[in-house]
Amino acid sequence: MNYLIFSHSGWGGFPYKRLLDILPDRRDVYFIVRVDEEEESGFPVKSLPLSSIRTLDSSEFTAIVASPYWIQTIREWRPKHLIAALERCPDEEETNLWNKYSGLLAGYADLVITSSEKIYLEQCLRRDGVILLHGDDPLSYGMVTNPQDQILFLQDYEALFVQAVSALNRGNSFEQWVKKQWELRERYYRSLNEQIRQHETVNYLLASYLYLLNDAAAEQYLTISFEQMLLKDFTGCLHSHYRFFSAIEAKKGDLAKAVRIYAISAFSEAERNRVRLLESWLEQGEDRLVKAELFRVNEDYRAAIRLLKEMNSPESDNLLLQNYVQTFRWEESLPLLDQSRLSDDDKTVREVLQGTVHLIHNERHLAVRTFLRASVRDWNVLSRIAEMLQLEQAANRVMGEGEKGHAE
Amino acid sequence: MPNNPDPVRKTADNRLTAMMQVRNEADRYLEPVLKELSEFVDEIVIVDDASSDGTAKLCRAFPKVKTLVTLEESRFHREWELRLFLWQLACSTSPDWLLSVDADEFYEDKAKASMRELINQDRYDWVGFRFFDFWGGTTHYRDDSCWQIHRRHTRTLVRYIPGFHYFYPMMEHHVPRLPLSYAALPGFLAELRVKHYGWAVSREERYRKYLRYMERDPHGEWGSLEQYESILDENPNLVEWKEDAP
Repeated sequence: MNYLIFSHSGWGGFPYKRLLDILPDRRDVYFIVRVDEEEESGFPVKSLPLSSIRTLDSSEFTAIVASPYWIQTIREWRPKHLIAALERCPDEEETNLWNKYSGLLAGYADLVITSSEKIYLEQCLRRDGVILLHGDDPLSYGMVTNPQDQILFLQDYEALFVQAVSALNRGNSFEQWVKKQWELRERYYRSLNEQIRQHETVNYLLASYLYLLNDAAAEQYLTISFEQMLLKDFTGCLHSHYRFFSAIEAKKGDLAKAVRIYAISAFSEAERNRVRLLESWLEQGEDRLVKAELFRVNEDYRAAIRLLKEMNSPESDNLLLQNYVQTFRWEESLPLLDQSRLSDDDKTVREVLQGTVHLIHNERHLAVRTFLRASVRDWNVLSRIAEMLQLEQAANRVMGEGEKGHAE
Repeated sequence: MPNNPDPVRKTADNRLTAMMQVRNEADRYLEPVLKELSEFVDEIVIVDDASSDGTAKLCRAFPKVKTLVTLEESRFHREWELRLFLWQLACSTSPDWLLSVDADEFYEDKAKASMRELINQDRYDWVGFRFFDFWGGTTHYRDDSCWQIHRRHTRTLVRYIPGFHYFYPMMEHHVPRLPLSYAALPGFLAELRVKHYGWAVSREERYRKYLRYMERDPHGEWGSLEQYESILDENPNLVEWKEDAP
């Protein structure tokens, strides 16, 4: 497999250099930004001007994209596989823009990698195929020989990365490697918990990994975390901690209890309406809808989408649509919106999503026209045009990094 | 969508249950406290912590005392257990709202008159009141750096929500009177006052209380040594209490 790397701030600031050394099934690795010859000599990568990617056969490439601002380039070039490398917003970037287009990039990606555990957990609750580029096990988990015939010993997460990318290249499932990493993280937090007992964050993270692993012990550790939060006077934990019990109960199958827990945490009018809806679904025996909605309100979109994709009813489609919108899978949400009866507000939302999809597909005029049409109903949509310009400037910056290097 | 009432929070017909733990209170303020409570609560649940005086008999004289359990052996030195026992006993009576009261606390008239309004709503799950430590009598309360309970709110009125996770910190002394879990739920800080007569006693009685505190917590592990010492202050700052119109 060939790899094409899209960096955010050039070779010098590229944080995943070691990964390039251990890429599986490698033939050529190209980097879309100048790599100094001196630097290049240490790494088996070739620099490539952006303008040259059209000469490459994209169906033979896996792209690793380390900046959300490459999204339009990637959608146009269409590599065989897309790996999105997501990181926290750099200080010099605009946070909303970065997070939004990182979400959209992840929505198109086959595999997501990140060194941030926060992003990792968020993504694990949004989608399949997420690898954390960080581990705490001092043992080596295998070795590989790099193109310079050097033997490299792999850390746990590096071994998992290699296995997951290899599975991706071969068209195999990488679920076992994802699960393996949850088990490693669970083991790490369990041992940390034995050292630092009764710590709210350690217990919360342990509960989170146990939840992902469908282990009912999640409840026990979440309880400790919830109590520790209150003992330390962190009282704003009704939604973040207490409500999480409802997702755990939903997984265990006690839906009446799960709905009750959610109801206790529900105060806004929208939340109370949702409680009524959940109760009416419970009465009608619509257990899968209840489960899916409880997963969604706990931000476990992945579990919700899995359930809803197996269903086919106006209610399940409506929930699926909400999950797609919240996980930035906007292209998939459009057909579902088209089959719904839309209120004026919904029509505006649809056009905002459609306009953004046009933009990502480099259909600038269509994007502007769509945003303008929506702005007749809601003038706030005009801000999307300003955001569009922001994205273009950001994209030009990351693209300029590559071209500038080659012009020198 | 069916217009079901909120399954957790009723806005009408809530029953109010007072819960108390008492110990040898027959000759103090228990009788007037029970008399006042009987005017504005629906039911009273009491744990008598092995009293050796007529406390239990006095409690039984009030018809609203529906549940009274007398412990054979005092759990005073296992405060966490005692709080939990009372809580579980009170919950077993299926209350809507619980008011935690000590045998020397009096809600001002305005608070009593507001009680139904405070509980028949669905916006918050607990209410905090301002407590005032009366000193040496029932005309003045103490206000200085060690005695400032009236400057914050104390949570004593809570909605009982079956299924919620309730817990008490496992402390030997100064255990909060209601489960700490309520801190996660939205509450209402009422500008309503409660008179605490625990220190409205003679200098000799205050000295005995000081000795008891120092014996139980000589290193200030559960409370403030500075506050324990201040019990002996010769000239504490006292402020005259003024009743509000209800």
